Amino acid sequence: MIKLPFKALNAVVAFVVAAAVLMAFANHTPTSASRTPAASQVVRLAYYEGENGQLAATLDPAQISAADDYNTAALQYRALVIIGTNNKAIPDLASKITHSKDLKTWTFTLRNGLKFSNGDPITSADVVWSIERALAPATNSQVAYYDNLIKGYDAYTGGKASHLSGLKAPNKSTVVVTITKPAAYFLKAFSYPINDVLDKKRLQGKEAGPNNNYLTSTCSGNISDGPFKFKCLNSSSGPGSFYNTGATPVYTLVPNPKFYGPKPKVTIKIPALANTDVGYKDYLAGQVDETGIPSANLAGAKGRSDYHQAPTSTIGYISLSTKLAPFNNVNCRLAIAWGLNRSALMAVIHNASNPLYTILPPGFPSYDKSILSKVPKYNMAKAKSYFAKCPNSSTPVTYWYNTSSADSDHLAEAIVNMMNIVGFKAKASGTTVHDWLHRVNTPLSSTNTQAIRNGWAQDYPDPQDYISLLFRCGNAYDISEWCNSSFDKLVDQADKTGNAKQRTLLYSKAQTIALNAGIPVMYDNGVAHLLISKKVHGLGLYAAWSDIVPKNLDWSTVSVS
Amino acid sequence: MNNIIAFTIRRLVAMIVVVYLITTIVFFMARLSPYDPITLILGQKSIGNPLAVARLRHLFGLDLPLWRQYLNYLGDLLHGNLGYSEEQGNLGEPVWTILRVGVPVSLKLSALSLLLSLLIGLPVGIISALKQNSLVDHGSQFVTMVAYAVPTFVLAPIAQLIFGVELGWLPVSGWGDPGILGIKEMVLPVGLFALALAGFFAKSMRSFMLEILSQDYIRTARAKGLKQRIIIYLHVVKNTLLPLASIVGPTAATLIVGFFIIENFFAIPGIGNITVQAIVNSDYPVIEATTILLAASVVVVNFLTDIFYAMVDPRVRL
Repeated sequence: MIKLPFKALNAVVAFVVAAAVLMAFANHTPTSASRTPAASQVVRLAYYEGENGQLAATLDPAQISAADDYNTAALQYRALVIIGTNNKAIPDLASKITHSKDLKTWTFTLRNGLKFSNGDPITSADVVWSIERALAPATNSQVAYYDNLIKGYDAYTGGKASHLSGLKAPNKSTVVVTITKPAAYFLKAFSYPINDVLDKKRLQGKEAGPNNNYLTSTCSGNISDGPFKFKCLNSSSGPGSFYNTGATPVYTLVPNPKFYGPKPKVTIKIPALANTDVGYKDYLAGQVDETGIPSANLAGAKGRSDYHQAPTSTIGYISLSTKLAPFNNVNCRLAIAWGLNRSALMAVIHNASNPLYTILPPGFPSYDKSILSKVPKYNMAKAKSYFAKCPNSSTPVTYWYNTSSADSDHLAEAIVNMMNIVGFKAKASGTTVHDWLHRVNTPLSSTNTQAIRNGWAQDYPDPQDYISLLFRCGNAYDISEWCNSSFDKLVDQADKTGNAKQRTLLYSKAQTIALNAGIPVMYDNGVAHLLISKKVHGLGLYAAWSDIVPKNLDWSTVSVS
Repeated sequence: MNNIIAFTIRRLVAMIVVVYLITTIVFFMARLSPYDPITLILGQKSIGNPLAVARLRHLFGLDLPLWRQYLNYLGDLLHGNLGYSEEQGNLGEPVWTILRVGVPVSLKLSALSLLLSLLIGLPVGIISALKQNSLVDHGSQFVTMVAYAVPTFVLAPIAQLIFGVELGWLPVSGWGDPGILGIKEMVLPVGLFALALAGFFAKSMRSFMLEILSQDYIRTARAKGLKQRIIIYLHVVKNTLLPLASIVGPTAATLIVGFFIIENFFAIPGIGNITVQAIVNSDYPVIEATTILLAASVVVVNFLTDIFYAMVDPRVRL
């Protein structure tokens, strides 16, 4: 045996142990509520959970289409109207909204003394300029269509007019919008971030096109008119203006002292979290104040005192091609509609969602539970009877879905099993999100897709965004290529009906027609499951918002103990 | 000297050929993908919006014939232009500005890990060899075998649960924060990354040591009455440098594979994370650039290892 001469080794071991002990002690003790000054209260929101470790795809209101970006935009940019936590369009930068009798002319009066975070006054010229900037052909906005009701939209977006004829600023505090047809959903559609108000003086000349991410890449370019403003590291362009390059991406937002409403007391940090698993672990380790819950952990999380759940407007359904056998026959579609055991399907995914039978989910404006008795639900005898009348029932069926998660796989397997129990020769075909997106973005017959998993979440809380947009004959989203004149007449009428009761009645009739044609086959309504730290007060889950926000969007009520 | 120059030139030419071949393969493999990045950028908004699709396709040169795209790509590469990101979050951003952020992060992670793994692995290997077949040897062999054999993607979540969630000592994700938090953020990723490498180095070092300890010149040195410390430092450890150099170089490849796992688990914005994001988002220019960068790194490190090999051992002829 050889005697060891290495004292240095002992020194290394001692160093490692000492470092570990220091780390343990460096883990500072939490401060009590009474000792947390307002300025140091930090809320760490998991808005960007599941975005592959990235932050906003865009911070430019003209380009926002993702829910996470929408939530972030609402912290720093505001429009004339906004969707409140009660799912209604409420005045925001406008203090007063009036409309003509025919619902075609809308007049917005700006609040007194509005200012951007840099002190510039907010005028009607800023409103008009911001909307025209967003809709300008050079901007190439992918969400411009939210404003397609405004008069002159086609000419302006097509480059045939230099201004949007339906948008005027008769004086510094008034904006008048004229729309082409009466539409009960106009205000809600007008609340979309594409109409957020930007500082014309500061941003004029900065294009918003896809090859110019000025606002997304330049922190100081974001001049806020919302409750928060970005805390910028410098005035350069690039990620380094938002956070230290080489560090995990994070946005830091501080209260905007010029905001017209009650001023927030907290600082917000929004880190990029690769996926829900990472967010969940970060939450358990105390690194974020809220998180989604991986479905595998859902059962355990439901027993926690910091567990919260709320309904969402997300719906899941099967789109069937009316041009391809066997679903070019209504009996074949109805055999599926009556053969799906929705409750059993939800059990497959740990009851993370609720079964759904109508196009509009419960709680959504114009949701009408009285039609439940008139639409397909699970009844195997009925399913078999429709199957018996299905002319091409022996045609093999491929059900497409995206393999984005284990839940998605399990759900597809269960759906296909149920199809086969009815009598079909069905198989599931999992595909990538890219391919799936391609298939649900084009008429099903053009991709030879007989049946595919589909889904939708609200752009704004109005039934038109679901029923008319997705299923009216000729609309781009009508990928089943289904046409029914009675349905079309009903939704056209409902879209412009102001009376809420009458509107609900019309949409209910339209839903009954569509669902009894097997267009679509509804099956689930998403439920949001979150853990919210008990240290954070005043934040909640609301169906209109995809992540936590304060009631009435009043951030002054949020605090950290 | 002339030999080294000729060797360097030969290897440089070979390196250029290898990198060129990798560049070509990656370019065409990316284009063989059935997924259209433009549809991905626009998502459902591409419906009924052919003008927007065409504009973006033209912007990125994706409307050109494949051979033309390839020639443009090579031409840009020769001019140091790695292209522009086709992913919505970085749309139009020069690829180099994206890599410029990730490269130093990965270099820091790998340098610290390599250093720590050598600091742990080499002494453990030496002790193990000097105390061959003792309890210490068996114990350290067992630990190094476990460290080497258990994949990082198994160890990482366990370590996160223990040190982050249960004990609350260390963050489970994040990188680059200032102060003590920044140091704490490094402990788990660097430690885990180093652990696997340390196991490998310890096992290798033990083998090298045992082989040298059994040489006649070591017995002669002992017979001459040289002190144990001198025998170990001057005759044993020094002679392990050559075989050690032969394994540290190729470890660069292991480091690169490790980036993808460690950076993903700990949300570290390095080159591995950038590559994974690019793959998920079909961001071809970034995928191509990171692949070339990583391939070139391996080729260069191997080249440097050969040079080092020749410098350490005069018997090696280039």
